[in-house]
Amino acid sequence: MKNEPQFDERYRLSPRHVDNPGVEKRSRAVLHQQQQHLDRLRNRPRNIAYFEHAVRGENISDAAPLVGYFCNMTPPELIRAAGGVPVRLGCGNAALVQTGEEVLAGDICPLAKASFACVVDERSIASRCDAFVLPTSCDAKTKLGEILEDYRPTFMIHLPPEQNHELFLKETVKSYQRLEAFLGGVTGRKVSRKALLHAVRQGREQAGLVRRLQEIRSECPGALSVQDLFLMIQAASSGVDMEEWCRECRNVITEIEGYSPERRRFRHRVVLTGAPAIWPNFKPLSLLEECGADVVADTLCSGTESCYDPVVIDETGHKSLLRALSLRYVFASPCPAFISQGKRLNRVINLVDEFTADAVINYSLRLCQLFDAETYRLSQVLKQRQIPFMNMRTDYSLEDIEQLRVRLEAFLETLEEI
Amino acid sequence: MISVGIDIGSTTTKMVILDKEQGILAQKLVATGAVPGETADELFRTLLDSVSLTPEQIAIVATTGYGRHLVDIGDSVMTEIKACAAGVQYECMEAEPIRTIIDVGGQDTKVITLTGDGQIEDFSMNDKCAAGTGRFLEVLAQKLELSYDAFVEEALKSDTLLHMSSTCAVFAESEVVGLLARGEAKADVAAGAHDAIAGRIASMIRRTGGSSRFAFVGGGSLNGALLRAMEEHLNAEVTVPASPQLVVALGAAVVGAKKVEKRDASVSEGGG
Amino acid sequence: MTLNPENILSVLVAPFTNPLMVLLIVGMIPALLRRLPGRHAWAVTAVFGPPIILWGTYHLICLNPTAAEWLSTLNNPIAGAFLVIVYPAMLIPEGRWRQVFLVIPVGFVLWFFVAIYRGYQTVPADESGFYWLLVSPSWLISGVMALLVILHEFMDLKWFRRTVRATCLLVLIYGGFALRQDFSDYRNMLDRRAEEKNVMTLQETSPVMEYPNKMIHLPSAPCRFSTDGGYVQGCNLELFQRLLHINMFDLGSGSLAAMNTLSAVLAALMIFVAFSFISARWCCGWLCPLSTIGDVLNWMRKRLGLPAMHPPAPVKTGFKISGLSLVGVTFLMAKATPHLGEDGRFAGCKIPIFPFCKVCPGQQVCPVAGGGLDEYPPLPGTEWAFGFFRYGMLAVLGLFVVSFMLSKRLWCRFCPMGMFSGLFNRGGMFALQKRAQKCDKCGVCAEVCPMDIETVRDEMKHPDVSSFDCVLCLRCVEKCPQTDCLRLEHNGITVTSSTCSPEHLTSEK
Ligand code: SF4
Ligand code: SF4
Ligand code: SF4
Repeated sequence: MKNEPQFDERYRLSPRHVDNPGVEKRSRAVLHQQQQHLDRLRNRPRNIAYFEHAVRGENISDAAPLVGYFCNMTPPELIRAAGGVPVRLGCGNAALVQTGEEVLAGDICPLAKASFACVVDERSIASRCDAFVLPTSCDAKTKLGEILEDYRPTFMIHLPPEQNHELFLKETVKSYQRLEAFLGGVTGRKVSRKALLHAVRQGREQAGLVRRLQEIRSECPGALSVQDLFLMIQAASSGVDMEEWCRECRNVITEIEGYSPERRRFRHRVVLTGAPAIWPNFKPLSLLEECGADVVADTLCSGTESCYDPVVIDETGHKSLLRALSLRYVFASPCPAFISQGKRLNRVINLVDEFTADAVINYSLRLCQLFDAETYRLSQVLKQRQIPFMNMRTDYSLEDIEQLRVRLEAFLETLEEI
Repeated sequence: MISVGIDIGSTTTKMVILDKEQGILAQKLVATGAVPGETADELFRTLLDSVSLTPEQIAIVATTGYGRHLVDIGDSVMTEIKACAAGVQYECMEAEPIRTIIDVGGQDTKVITLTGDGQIEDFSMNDKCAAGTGRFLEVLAQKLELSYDAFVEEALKSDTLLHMSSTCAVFAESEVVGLLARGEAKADVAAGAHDAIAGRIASMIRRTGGSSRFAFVGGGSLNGALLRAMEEHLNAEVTVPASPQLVVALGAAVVGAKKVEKRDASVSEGGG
Repeated sequence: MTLNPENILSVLVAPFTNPLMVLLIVGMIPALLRRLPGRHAWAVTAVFGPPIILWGTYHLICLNPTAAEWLSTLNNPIAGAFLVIVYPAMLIPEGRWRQVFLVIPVGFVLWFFVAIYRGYQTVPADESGFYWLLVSPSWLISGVMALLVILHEFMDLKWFRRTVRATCLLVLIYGGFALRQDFSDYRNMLDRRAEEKNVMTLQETSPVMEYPNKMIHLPSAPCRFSTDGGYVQGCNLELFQRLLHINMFDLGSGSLAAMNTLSAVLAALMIFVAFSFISARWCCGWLCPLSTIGDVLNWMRKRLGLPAMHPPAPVKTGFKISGLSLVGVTFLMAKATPHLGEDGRFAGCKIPIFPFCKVCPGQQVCPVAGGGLDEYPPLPGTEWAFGFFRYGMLAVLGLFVVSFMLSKRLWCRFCPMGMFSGLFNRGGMFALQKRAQKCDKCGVCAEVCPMDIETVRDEMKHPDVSSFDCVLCLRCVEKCPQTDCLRLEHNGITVTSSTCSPEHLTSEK
């Protein structure tokens, strides 16, 4: 059973060709709309265009094979070390959900549907990937793997359910070893200790840059919009060259370090937690900003959570590096895919403290059971600690925007004394 | 000092003129129409005329409701949640404070919980569909071929409990067809519908952490059957203020007046 | 001097009358009281503090001339340096005051050089050459402390630890012969090396090598048995053995000599206990020459990319038990010392006077660092069971190397010296603290911990995460990716805390 393929090849389906001009047109409209939102932002970094192009998949570093992956539990370092270029697959385009429904019908989250649609959409980066890697982080992803296998070689990372036991650490390391073997098959290069170390160091540099951005934003949130921050972070996993990304990011930092607000800022500082907001679905972010709140910190896996914490290098043996990756990406993950919600709660409470936030907003993506199920405990725990909390349950569509606006504004009003 | 509150809702626009000493000077409710801005302007002018006030005599105009950003006569904009809480507290100033406000409107249902000293503690709103709103009852009334008032009357008459599982306007229609085909009385179906919706609102209240005393406002509170069903579900008495549809506009005027006072106070402090 | 109860008491009390001791005791009171709720603490201090001082002074001045002697012998600059340099350096936070404070250590370092210069002034004019550091070891140690405090300002935790360890290794290993009080002391040392050796004397308990004309002794400063060294009172096990050497019958019959020995040993032990209370197992993480050498071995393992072995819990307990039984057996043997016959035998067996020292790893390892394998004496024919001469030693040495190469600090798991200080890891002045709110349970601390401690990761309720095995190496504090999550406290004041700043991360490459 050692090298058995993960899926039964006998039942493979031939790739499905999707041609839906209506969806295509609407998806362009969604992109356009989001771009307009961004354009309306005041005070954007001068080189933001680099990141905008990047998230649209226009800055892909050439030659190397692209490896599409889902979730924070897939270490991009491993892909880089194997000589591939990691491309994060999540997609937030509301229009594409419809295409996804053709294959993933029913109560499955829009993220999975839209992301699938990207894979079959010839213009997207996802369709140019040479392989896919998915963790079994939720039911949708667990099942999506086999569907994607019809299109490209796909590897499912087996995630442990628990994060508190040595047993599961060993399991994760084994999964990563299998992933290495899979990636080696795709890129034709074995993951060497040196390459891995280099990739981890690069990841640490990225973490450092993102930490710096957050430091500046915490001090004066006006310096960089949270939408631009997300754009920058998501650009990093859009197949760009890391060195280049770091350079551009440094430029942004130098620029916003010089930003000085004209007067004091009285906007409410909030911590955003919950489901991922992925380009071009920046709806929760733009809504919060429009209603007059500053998102000073977040635990979104499509946001700072994806690269805020560094992988800690201690021992530099191959296996030790894999252990370090497991600790960072699986054992410290606040993702609701694991049985205990403790890490996320702890994180949220700490962020409120560290970034002196006034409130917590939970973005609960409709049809994501995991995040939905966590809302109760989150709200109760925050209530116990007297941290104002609001749940923003919505999906990709824009129809409930006015409703949400009332709720958000009313919530922000309650934070004031009058 | 006179303040004005205008609540521009999706179906109706309400306005209240409030004098700090004399209380409510005038109040009115009109249909919102296609251009909320114009309706509000119009309403503002006619209502001022009716009590022979000029716009210069008004200290502040506070707008709220869905159209709050759409009109430009407002000096202060706030959400209906805040306005509603202020309005209810103004109207129901009795010994025991109101702790939970239930607002059933045409398109949405809100539950606001207040702390003992009248601060908003928490609130929730229905999700984006019509389930649990007044609209649901309207749809069912049509299905039963009754006018809305008759529908309510019928419901009040029934004393058997008919369980309806659906609170979604669309699915409920087919469920009603099934019930009628089974030979259930219209009155029982009507009562069942009210019960279903009250149950749903009550569960929302529980999730929000609501507790006694309850106030019931918005268009839905004019519905006696719904009120009765709510009281049953909450197992408590529910207070309905004098003009439940106007409390939001009233609240806007109250909060507006407070803002003026606060500003005056800070100005005199700064000057002195 | 006749023996009366008064005198017995005063002999017992003498050690406590050292001003240093009084200071320590008074310092310990608030530390202990920190565990009591607020107001009680002050009340207790107010009630008990002054009487203790008065009582001590009374005995010192009025009752006991021996105590006065102790005062003079124990009053050395190390204590002073500790109080005015190390302690403030730990506790004064960054800022202007810290810069002002740094004047003191700079002064100490300057004085240290002056002292060496003065040492060389005493060299007779007809002799010239290099005589190592002619300075009183106490001054040297104070100077080194001051130097480290200054260096600390420019280093991160990792490099600071490395510097401290390298410095301590040099001082402890070479200190034995490189530090000479003055020129005549230097001469004495050379003379001592030429002495005839006698298997059962104290000197002989240290491995000695015989070159044609001289002997080279264990070059280890903390060990009292090093003929060359023995300046620094560093080993609790020696003290315990000494305590066991005292013949209880002598004591009972009122022998003044036995009484004085007891008093001396008690005093030294008290200082040791107090020191352990102050520093817990810090010495293991920063000072101990064995683990410094071990860390070099460990570093080699890391460079080779070999994985570290993590012994499972029962094995760890096994190590602990074997370490403790070793102490038990050797201490029992020490207990037999007063009853040794003329031929040095007890019940027919030859027993060394300090049996534990025969198995002390320091005695196997330090000579290697000091002078290579040649330092080992040949295997004499008449050896006792615990005399690890050349081959036996090589085996222990091999075990030592292997245990450090396999796992990070396998050795330290059965080191009795470490275990003793470990008693003060909880309840002593040092405390490793965690703000659970910042902790992701990422497990990095457990991963980097050389002692495989999991408490730091797992403890989420109580902020104190110190544990018995912790050697206070602060690797967990250094590596924890959450700023301000872990911190080391001394008597409630933060000494250092984890930082993971952007600058730190981006400047790595
Ligand atoms: S446990 Fe023993 S060998 Fe290890 S560092 Fe401590 S004293 Fe040294
Ligand atoms: S390294 Fe820090 S964050 Fe990670 S488990 Fe240890 S204390 Fe917690
Ligand atoms: S717990 Fe921390 S300080 Fe203690 S031994 Fe382990 S790494 Fe060192």
